Amino acid sequence: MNDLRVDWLGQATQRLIDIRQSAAGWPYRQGGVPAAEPTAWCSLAMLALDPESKTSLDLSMASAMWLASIQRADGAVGISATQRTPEWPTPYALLLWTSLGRNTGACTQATNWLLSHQGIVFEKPPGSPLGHDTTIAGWSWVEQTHSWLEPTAMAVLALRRAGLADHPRVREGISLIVDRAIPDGGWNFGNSIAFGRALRPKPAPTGMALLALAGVVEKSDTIGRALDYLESELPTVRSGLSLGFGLLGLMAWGRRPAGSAIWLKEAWPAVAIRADGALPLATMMMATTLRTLSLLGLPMVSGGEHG
Amino acid sequence: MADSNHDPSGKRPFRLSRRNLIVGTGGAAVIGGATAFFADRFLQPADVFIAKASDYHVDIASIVRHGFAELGITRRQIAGKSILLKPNLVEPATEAPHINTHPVFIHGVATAFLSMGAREIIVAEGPGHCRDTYLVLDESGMSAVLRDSKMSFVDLNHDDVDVVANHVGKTSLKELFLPQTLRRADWIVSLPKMKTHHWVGATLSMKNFFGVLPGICYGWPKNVLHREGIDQSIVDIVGTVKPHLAIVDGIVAMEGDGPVMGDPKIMQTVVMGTNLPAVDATCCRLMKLDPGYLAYLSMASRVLGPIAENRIVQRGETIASMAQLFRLVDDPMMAKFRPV
Repeated sequence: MNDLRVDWLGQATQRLIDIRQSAAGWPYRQGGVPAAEPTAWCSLAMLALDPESKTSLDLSMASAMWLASIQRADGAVGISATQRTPEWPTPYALLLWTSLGRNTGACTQATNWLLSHQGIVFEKPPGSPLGHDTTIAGWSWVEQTHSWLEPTAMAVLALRRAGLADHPRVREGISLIVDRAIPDGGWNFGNSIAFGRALRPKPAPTGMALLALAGVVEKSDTIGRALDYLESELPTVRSGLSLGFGLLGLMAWGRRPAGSAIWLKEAWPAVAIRADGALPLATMMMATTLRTLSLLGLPMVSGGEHG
Repeated sequence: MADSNHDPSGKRPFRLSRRNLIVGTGGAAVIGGATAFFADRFLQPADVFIAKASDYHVDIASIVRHGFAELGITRRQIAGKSILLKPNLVEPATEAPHINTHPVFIHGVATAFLSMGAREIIVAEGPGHCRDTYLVLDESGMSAVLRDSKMSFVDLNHDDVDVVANHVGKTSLKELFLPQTLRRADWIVSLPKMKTHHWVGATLSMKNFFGVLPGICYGWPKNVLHREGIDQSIVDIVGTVKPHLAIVDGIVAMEGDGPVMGDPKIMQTVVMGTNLPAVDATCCRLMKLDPGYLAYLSMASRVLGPIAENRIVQRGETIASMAQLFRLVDDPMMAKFRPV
């Protein structure tokens, strides 16, 4: 499997730079305030695409410094400089810092914060309509709420990248992700079964879950069904965030559908004109290159194109 | 917009007072006149208009304009105004279009407002489960409608936010984070889907406002609100946002395991009103649910508006002629919504 050959990457990089303008970081929406998640994620995309370029390095270093400047004393990173809660962007900042190999103090603090916080766990009462195991601790979007798939997947990724793949919290987070898989394949946003019915899988959370599990679990039926789900679903998906994460999830397991480059090219025009296109654009860019896997600390898996 | 506008038709004046309700920038919003607002809503009887709409091929804009007339909403109140339409776009689901407010319905409402001179139509939503809002738009068919229309779209989940005092206080939340886009709008219009809901009985024009709270602050799902109590949160949000109008898509509704896993229910109904508890109570009666058994409506009736049948003036079709039994999910917890 090689990097995808696509002709829009130069324009996409410029579009990301345009959205940031001269701000300290990337906003969710062009002209808005810089926010932690898009700042970290877009910086990672720039590094994945062109790790040697001065522009990538300058912007990423500035992002890392800005993220460190808004880090709270307890190690958490909130939404933005003024919006200090909730703390779910913390793993995104940690991923960037560890990828750059800088800000070691900030990394340590963020790591400690993640390890000392978890989503609420509880014993299900008899007759509960929830199908998943509510006693497994992962990470929540907001403190004092239940663990959900996406913040858990990102925390697992970031802590693995920080060298803590064998930490009990990471192992438990992995267990949570596996437990939340939908029986017929893929992941929903958090629940697997409710009121006796399996929920519908979605591409982005499925891609995130596959990223978080790559290299730390064996290729089981759960993984196989999720990969099959993405390969059947992505041909019809042209929304950048879902397509990007779906392809990343496949790539982490050595799978690259033959139509990937075409799908991304078809998704590009709509994302390019969106003022709030930074996150999907960054995700699509990352899905084109195998360097994303090494940047996220994931193993390269042999595989190839098929469709 | 003036606080009070009198309709030459002689119907009860429709009150709008948004501009003095949310003021301020940089995270410091101030709500004024809240007490008066609640007193108005609580004390006055409310008009609710029920219309028949056989399917999504009918002229929805005409139905909505008829509703405006029945509710005493005039061109003068709409002309030149910025209209924010808040549909219920919960999840991407091409295989289950009855999850979401139908895009044709949203387009029809927008057309009605534009025909009355509205300056702009903003469709705004922060889906409750899915981070990829644009996947929801694609799979609901909304993207195609937006491309061919004069409507713009804002993803409320990722908007910059204002911090606004919670002026109801049914939850322990002292403040709510609200998207700044709400401040752009002169009218905030709830466009929900008529659906059963496995936690609160029914999701209608009030529950729809969970979708204005940004996911970046509340998560996906907005689990903070579940922790605080869904019923209490609904009342706090509606009492703080103070929407002006609700137009319910009950053409193809949802019964059973709503809000996302239920089955389509052919209802052929549109429900409109400026008082959201009254609109939702009417919808409940159309679904053969007693609104008094829905905790958030019971709470709302004490602070936001009437739900009692004798305090709601039904216009258009009658409840008796349109009501159908909506099946609830098969779970013992549902008994509280429809006691035997």
